Amino acid sequence: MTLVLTLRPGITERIDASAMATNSTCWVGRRRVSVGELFDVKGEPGPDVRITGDLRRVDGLGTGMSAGMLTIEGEAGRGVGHAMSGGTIDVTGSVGDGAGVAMSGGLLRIRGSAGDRLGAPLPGASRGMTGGEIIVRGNVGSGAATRVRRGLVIVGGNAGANAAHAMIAGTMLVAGRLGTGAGLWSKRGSVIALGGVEVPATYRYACTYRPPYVPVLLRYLQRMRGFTIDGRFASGRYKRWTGDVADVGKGEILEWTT
Amino acid sequence: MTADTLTINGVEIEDTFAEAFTMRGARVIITAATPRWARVAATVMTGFATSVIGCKVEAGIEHEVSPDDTPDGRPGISVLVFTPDSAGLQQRLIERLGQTVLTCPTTAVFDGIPTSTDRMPVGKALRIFGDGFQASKLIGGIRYWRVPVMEGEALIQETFGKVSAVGGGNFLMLAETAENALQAAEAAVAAMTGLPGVILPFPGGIVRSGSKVGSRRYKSLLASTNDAFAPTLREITTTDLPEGVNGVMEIVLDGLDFDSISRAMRAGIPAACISGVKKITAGNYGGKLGPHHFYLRKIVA
Repeated sequence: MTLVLTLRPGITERIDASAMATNSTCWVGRRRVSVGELFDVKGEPGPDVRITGDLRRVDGLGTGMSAGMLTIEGEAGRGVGHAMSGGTIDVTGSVGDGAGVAMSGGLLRIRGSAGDRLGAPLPGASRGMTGGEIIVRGNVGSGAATRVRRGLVIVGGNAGANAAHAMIAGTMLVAGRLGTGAGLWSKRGSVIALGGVEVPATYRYACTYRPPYVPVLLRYLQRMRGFTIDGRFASGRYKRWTGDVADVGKGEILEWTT
Repeated sequence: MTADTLTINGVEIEDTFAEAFTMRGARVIITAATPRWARVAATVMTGFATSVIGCKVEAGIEHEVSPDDTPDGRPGISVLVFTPDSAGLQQRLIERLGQTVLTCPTTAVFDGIPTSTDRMPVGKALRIFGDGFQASKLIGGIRYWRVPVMEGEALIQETFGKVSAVGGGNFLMLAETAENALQAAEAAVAAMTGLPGVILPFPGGIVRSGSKVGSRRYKSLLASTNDAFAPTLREITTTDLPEGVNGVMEIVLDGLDFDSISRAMRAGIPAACISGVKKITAGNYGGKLGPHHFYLRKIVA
């Protein structure tokens, strides 16, 4: 049985839904409001929840999620999947900034685009995402995968500036083009650039080869996540750039060539 | 056929059973840039692995794996490995993968029993060949080790599943001539090759020197010639050979489970019933040593 929440029309204020799962309330400005006042509720509570309506001004959907399935129909506001540790969030549209911030597990799938700081740390925190997967079919803003410690960040479109900034480990794959500053201050993470990248000056060219884990990753995405990437990227050669040599220098940018 | 006899193509199927033992088994999927290199690696990995008596391990090629079914989309070969004990299985895998597959151009190695919760950290042990330059990737909850090598990078899954398995399924072809016995065995091997969950670890799948447990003369021997089935000894030992039998071949099967071996024997025994073969029988120790009993007549019925 699916629990369906439909945002009532005519609500023009921003809604903070980050506490919705824990105490069935949301913040509207400085007012705490019950979910029932904001949403039409149908169905029984359970592991499968669907949220619909004009959610562009609803922030923090899926905050702290640890299990189950949350489907967000249409576009959503900021902080989707904030600190989630398990389960699946499936957003059929685009989301605002800070999606997947401080995420430690589960799957956050965004079928549209995402704003800035996807999978990044909370302000002042030393680590961004520490586990799980984020898959965005469209573009992402700046600072995606900042300080990621573990996990996968997959972007079907382009990534903004400073992607994979100070990455500690983990993997970021961008099917489109990466903006400037990709991988700066990275310690050990991997950036797989399929659509072009401006490699920072603090990365050093190592070789051109076929990294064997890339086809494993691409096949996994295709088989398990329904995210298909052209076969030439699985069998192709990549330039391996190691860096950031201004830091630990064990990170890499794999730049697809042919 | 009567209640007392069962024949296939005029070949008697003896009312007996093959006695097999519990082993530990693993499945390794080796992929490579081409089918040839996958087979080269699998062939070398399964070399000198006919019997635990002298090789510490029994291994063989299970079947080819289509690129559609491998984790990296490349052609693959499935290899089964069996040992009498758990610790030995892990050690043999480390040795063999390290020396024969890690060294082989273009290969990558994956676990073929992902459902097993009993895991062996084989790739985790082999990763240190990277001398500190190794790195890992976690994809879909599975950790892979990237070991830098002169070719570029070798990829090996961190853990491999192991299962309780069955070793030592067998049947013997008693024929008018050694040539007839070999032809029958070859036909049986052809019928069983590629069946899932089972390998035939001996050369070409066939044993000419079947053994008995221990020795009548040399006390240190774990196994010695099966004199009861050796035609040259017919008149000087207690023989099990009927009149007119001048050559015997044996096929030994190891499988991931009882049913896999049964299926293979069901395919192999009828195929072995060709002209010149007198009888199909099996090796057992009276049912006292191994818990897995494959009754020939029940299997082919």
